[in-house]
Amino acid sequence: MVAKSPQPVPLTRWRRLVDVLESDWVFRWPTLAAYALAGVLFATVSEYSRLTVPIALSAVGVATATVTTTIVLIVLAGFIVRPLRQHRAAAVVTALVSIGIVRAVFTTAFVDQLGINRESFFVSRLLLSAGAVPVVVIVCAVITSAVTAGWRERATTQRAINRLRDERDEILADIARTDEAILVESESVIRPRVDSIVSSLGDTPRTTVSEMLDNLINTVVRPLSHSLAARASKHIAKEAITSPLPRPDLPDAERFVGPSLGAVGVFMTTVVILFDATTIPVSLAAGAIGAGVTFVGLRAFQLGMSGLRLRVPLITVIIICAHAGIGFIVVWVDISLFSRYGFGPENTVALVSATLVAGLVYVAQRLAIHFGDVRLAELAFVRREMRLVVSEVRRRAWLRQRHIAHALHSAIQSRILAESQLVQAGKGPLTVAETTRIQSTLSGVFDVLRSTDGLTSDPLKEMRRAVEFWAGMCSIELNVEDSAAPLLANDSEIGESVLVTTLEIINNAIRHGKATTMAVSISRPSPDLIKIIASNNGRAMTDFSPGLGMSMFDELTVDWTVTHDGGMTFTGHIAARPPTSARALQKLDT
Amino acid sequence: MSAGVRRAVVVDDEPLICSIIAEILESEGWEVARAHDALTALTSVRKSKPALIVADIDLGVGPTGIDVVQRVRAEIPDIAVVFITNLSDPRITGKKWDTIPENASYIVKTELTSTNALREAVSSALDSGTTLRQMSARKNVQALSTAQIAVLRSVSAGKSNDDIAAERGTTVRAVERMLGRMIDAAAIPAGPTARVQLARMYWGELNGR
Repeated sequence: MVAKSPQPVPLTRWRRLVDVLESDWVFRWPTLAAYALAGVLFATVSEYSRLTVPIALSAVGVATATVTTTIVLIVLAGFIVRPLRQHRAAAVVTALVSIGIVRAVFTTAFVDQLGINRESFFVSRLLLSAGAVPVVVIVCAVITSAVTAGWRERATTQRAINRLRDERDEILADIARTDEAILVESESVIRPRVDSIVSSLGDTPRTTVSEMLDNLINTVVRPLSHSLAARASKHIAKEAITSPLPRPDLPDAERFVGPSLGAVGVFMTTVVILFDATTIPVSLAAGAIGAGVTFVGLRAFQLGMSGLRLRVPLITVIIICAHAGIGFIVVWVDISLFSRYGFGPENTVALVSATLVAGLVYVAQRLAIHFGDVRLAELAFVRREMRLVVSEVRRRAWLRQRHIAHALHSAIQSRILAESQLVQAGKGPLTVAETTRIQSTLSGVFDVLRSTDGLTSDPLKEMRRAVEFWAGMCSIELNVEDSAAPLLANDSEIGESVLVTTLEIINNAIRHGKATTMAVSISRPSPDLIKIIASNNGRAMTDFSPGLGMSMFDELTVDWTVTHDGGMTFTGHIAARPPTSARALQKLDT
Repeated sequence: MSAGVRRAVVVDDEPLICSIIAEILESEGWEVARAHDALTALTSVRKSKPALIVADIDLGVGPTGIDVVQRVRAEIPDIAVVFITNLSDPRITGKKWDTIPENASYIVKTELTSTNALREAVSSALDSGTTLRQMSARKNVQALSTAQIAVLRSVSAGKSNDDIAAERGTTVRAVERMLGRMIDAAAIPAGPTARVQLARMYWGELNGR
């Protein structure tokens, strides 16, 4: 039974916010740039609404001066906060609140100095700055760290993909080298002895020729076949391809923390702006409504977006529309509620802007995470593709190696053996016809080695024959789905891989597991994979020694697993990107 | 069919070897059915009820000659069995041959150049009173236990004693003791090259040298 992983609780997500504060992100230049962008907009709208003579340029000037001062103060505070090892989050928040208060003092003095607002609104500005600076800076830190992490993840993923490609090329080249070396080695070992025998045929006594042929078997052909059969494939380093895919390390603060921060920002903006013009209960109620709308809107948007696999432009459009919708709701609240108390449209502008600030920074974060997901999906796709390619090449090399080994200890050995017996059976010197026949037999050795016709012509028939063979001892239910059958029949390499794997599972279950019933299912769950599931009631085999075909499964399958549940179940996948052989291409063409 | 006819089934996936053996047996008066795969062999046995089966151990993909004999023995318990093999001892391949039937004679394929070897193997299999013809007399390997052969195989694969101990879930000391016993059994002089000579012996056995 697969244990479900525990669901993360919201508290751990808040922890991510603290992690950001514990890191350097509050003091890094991307955060300050984001703060400047959001802060100027935020302060401009606020100052515009509170100036006696609302002039946009004046508001922008006040905001720019305020934000610039704040950034300088943050940088200075950074030198103090950075060395603090303990309670750093608290120190950062305290520093930001202090900076906000200093900022309020500075802004009021600045406004008074310019004479554009005699009343100066010191108290409300103090409240606004003390609360807004930490909120906006922290939001910016969270967002910029997420965006940066997204970019970093993208770069890491790209490097991982490049590394995988290099590894794949190395593996493929290694397999190709080994594959070719096996053939060359086999020929180079046999050829000198064959040439020696052929060159001496003219004047060598019959018995000596026979002995030479026997020696060829005993000292060359048999040792070679055994060394090929025993040769382990050590050139495969599959870990990078088959190891579990790492999740990108992106901050997940966007789930609750993002909307919460947005809501806090809207609440504080609303309260502080209304504080100057209405009663405290009304300003608190309006702030709560704005905050609630912001939180619910952002959260609903997140839930609606999670799990969707959409193209980036479409996501962008949806994000913009969703936040515009939130803005319209706030406008509606203002019209129906605020206007009753005689407040002008500037309040609405402030609320909408505050909402959009939170929304826009959320857009950036959401897109960063989306890009992270896209890169992850790309990486998964590339890895899957590479696993299939490597698996195909590995199994091709394995089948070829098996073909050569089998040819050596079977066809080649028996032909030389028969030739030796024929030579022994004759009398007198070798005749011209006998010499020609021996030469033909020996040169045929290389034809057999080079032959590619070592694969079973009808794998399905062979499987059924095996089922028939074991009938009475083990009842085997073989089910080859229609989606898989044509591929097995038409692609001899895939067919052979499925056949060898399936028969090895059947034989192991009966021989070693003493199974009496078995169900084998061969399907094609996706166009590029054949899936083999074999369940039996045999005893569990805990000793997976090499003799049980485990290394063979490694060579032939993309992956395989064995589970024990009152019996044994083998599940394996075989790469099946059709067609993989020239013969299959030819068949499919016709 | 006359009552005196002796029937045999020969199963080998290589037709030429199958023919060679069949012809030798036929020259001895046997009536031989030839098969190149497990199912055909089983069918032939059921049909002809032979007194002898000569089976290649390796029949390619699928059931082996051992599987065939196991199935045949279940139906004809007293059938004489001769295995044809490429190996002096199948255990050295590292394969799990725990189902090798008892009371079977063996003949290595290279011995087929001599008809006497096959006659001897058949005669040994048929006559339960005589000692069965074992795999060719390679005492070094046959004297070893399956566990010792597994360790020997690891040594020849270049593994250290630490690796072998970890692989087998035992102590390094136990591996050293096992190697010491093998070196003694093989009469290899103790010394720094003993381990190498042991590995060489394994390869010699594996490769029929």
